[in-house]
Amino acid sequence: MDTIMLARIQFGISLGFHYIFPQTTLGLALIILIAEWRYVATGEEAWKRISTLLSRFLGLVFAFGVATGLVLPFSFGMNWGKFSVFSAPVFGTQLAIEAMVAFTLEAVFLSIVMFGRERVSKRAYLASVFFVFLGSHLSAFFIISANSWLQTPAGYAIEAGRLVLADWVAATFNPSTGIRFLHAVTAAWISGFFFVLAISSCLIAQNRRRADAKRLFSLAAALSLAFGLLQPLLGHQQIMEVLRHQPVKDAAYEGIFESVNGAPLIGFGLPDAADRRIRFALSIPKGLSFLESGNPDSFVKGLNDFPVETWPPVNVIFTTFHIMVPLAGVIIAVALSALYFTRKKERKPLEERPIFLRLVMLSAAAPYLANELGWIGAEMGRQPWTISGLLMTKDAGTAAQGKGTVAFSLSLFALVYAVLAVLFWKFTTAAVKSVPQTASEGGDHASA
Amino acid sequence: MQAPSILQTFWFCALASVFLVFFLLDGFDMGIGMALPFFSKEESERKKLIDIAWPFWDGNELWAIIGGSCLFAAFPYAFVALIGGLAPVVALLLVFLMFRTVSFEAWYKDPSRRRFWEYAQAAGSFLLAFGFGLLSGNLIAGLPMTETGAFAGSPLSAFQPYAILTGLLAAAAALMHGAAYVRKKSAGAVRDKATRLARGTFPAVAVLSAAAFAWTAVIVPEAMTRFPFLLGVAGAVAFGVSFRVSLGRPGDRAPFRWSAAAMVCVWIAGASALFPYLIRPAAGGPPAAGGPAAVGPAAGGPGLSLAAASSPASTLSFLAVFATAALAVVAFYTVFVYRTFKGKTASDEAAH
Repeated sequence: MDTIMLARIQFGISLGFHYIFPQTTLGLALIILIAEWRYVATGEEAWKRISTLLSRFLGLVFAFGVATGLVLPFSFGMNWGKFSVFSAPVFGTQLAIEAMVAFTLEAVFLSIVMFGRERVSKRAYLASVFFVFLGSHLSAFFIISANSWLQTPAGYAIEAGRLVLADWVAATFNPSTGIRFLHAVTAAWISGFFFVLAISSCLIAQNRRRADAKRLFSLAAALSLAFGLLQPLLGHQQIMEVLRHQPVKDAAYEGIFESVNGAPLIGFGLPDAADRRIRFALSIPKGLSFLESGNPDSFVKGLNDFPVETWPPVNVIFTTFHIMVPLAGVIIAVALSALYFTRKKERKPLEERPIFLRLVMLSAAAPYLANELGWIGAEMGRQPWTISGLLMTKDAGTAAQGKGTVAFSLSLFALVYAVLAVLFWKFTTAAVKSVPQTASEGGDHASA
Repeated sequence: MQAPSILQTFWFCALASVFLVFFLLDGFDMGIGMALPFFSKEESERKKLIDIAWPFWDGNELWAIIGGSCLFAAFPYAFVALIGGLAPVVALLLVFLMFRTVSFEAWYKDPSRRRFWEYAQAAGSFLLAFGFGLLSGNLIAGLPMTETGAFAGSPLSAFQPYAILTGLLAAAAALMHGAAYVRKKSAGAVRDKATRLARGTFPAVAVLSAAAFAWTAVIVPEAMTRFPFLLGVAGAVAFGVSFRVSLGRPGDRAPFRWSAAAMVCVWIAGASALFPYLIRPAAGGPPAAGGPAAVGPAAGGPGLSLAAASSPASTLSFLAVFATAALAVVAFYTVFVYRTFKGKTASDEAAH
């Protein structure tokens, strides 16, 4: 294995692990904002208790997000020297702006949300929650914009072999930023909603603040369903954008090798890029052509008409894509059944459905898995480029970096992430257990 | 060597300021972290320390992220030389930073292992402060560089005597600064212990900074002719004395103010010795044996000047305007949040 491959694995592990936390933060911040807004609007103490409860989890997730996120900008300097030096005028600028505008807003106002409820007015507290929400979403925007610039670079010029920032607005709102932001943030919200669903299921099952937990469960289920239904539409728009700007990536996603009029939509299959075919393909005839243009007989360009050296790793990105898409179905099904069981007319209360609650807890893995797979597909689908059309991955490393150095930091980080993952699990379950148990049915309005 | 442009000089000052703010703010967190397991036999008093530091660590640590990403954008060659060249050192620092970040959470959520987490916090904080001083010292002492602005030493190049001295200075200063902050935010026994700690650390800081000033004057003789360097040294002495005197007086806010002022002066002296370089030329003699020095220049090489390290002017000017506006807003709400928490920390207010 060469140095570049080790460096790719290291960056993949670092970012893939980090990604768990910010996606939770985004959805969690939205639910806290809703709860706090309801509290200010209605004065109901239950909303205040819910907001306070969730802000503890937000603090925990945020701490792990910062701990794992600190590594990322420094990873560019460590192992991706030529990339860093080349891309700094545009890509580095976006990271700097993200840190100054977005991350600071979130981090500073989080202190008030976590520790300052008694020190500020109700409205100032709501405003602080809003600034945390705004900061985390601005952060997502600039990071996704920077990543989209790698996919579809714009707003730059090349002068004497060096990259120059020509038009910041064009670079920021490059052709793929908008739809990728909507798709990724919606996906992140769903992860946050499922995190909350899992926590409230746990609280209901263990009879901790049960009435509050049920209220939270219904809210998270309704939001999951709404955005779970929206997501396939956004996903479709995202794929149409990929088709326009990165057609070879799109052909790999869909597993189309032969260019054809009336291309099938492959729902399942085992890709075999060496043999240039999808084995055991289950497909809808002409489905892809219909989805892409509305015309079942339209032309779809296959991988065989692109030079093979420009192909991304087809087997990987076909597989990740074809696991991600059905997970949307799982998400919608869980959200629907969660809403069904919380109907007012339902005879059996949720706490008498322990198996269902357990299934909801397990299903929280689905949106996280979908996000990780979607991200792997998007990034590996950009290969062999690090910056599409400008810098190839094989030319992006640090010149003098030895294999041993990268292997050292890779194994160090892998070990640390394993420990952090265990700690996060322990702290989250400890935080759930610290919520007091309710003495009698629905009697937790007295406690608080 | 090409002279730096106005924009490059602006960014040199801006980055120096950002890293200074980082060390002024996160420095007291590091100091409190270092003192944590040794501060008191009473768990309630150690908990007090955590409650004082915890509300701010994230807002303080973010200045390292701002500094790192601005260095990436403005001076990518220096960013790659420093971070890439000393990758194993940086990787270890990042690991300490990660564990330090989660150890406050851990202290509350893992009560059976509190002592372990206190020692983790202390080790992480010490190594972080030391590493910050070590990396800063290397910029002044110089690192082996090629003519094309690439790092030509080995990770061991970082452990040169001058940089170890500045590393120890940073750790001692953080401890003193943290003690001053605890005094500002506490009362009773905790306040008195913090005062004793600050008094005990002061001689070490005084001796280490005197040694660092003298050694800097040897490495960078031209610094003695630079007004900001002399001003920084004079200020550090004056504010250091004020700090020591204020410890014996009744006011609880003054020591923290004086230690911050002294640190600003030390930093001004260091930055004016470094200018107009980001990495000064290493002193003659081959770089550490065993490193990939064979491909590098015979002696320490040319260092890395501001002009050679920087991004194109369009990026520097765009980001200068942006950063000025953004950091003004950040400073405004950071002050707002600090004022919200002003006064002594109540013992029961942290939401764990």
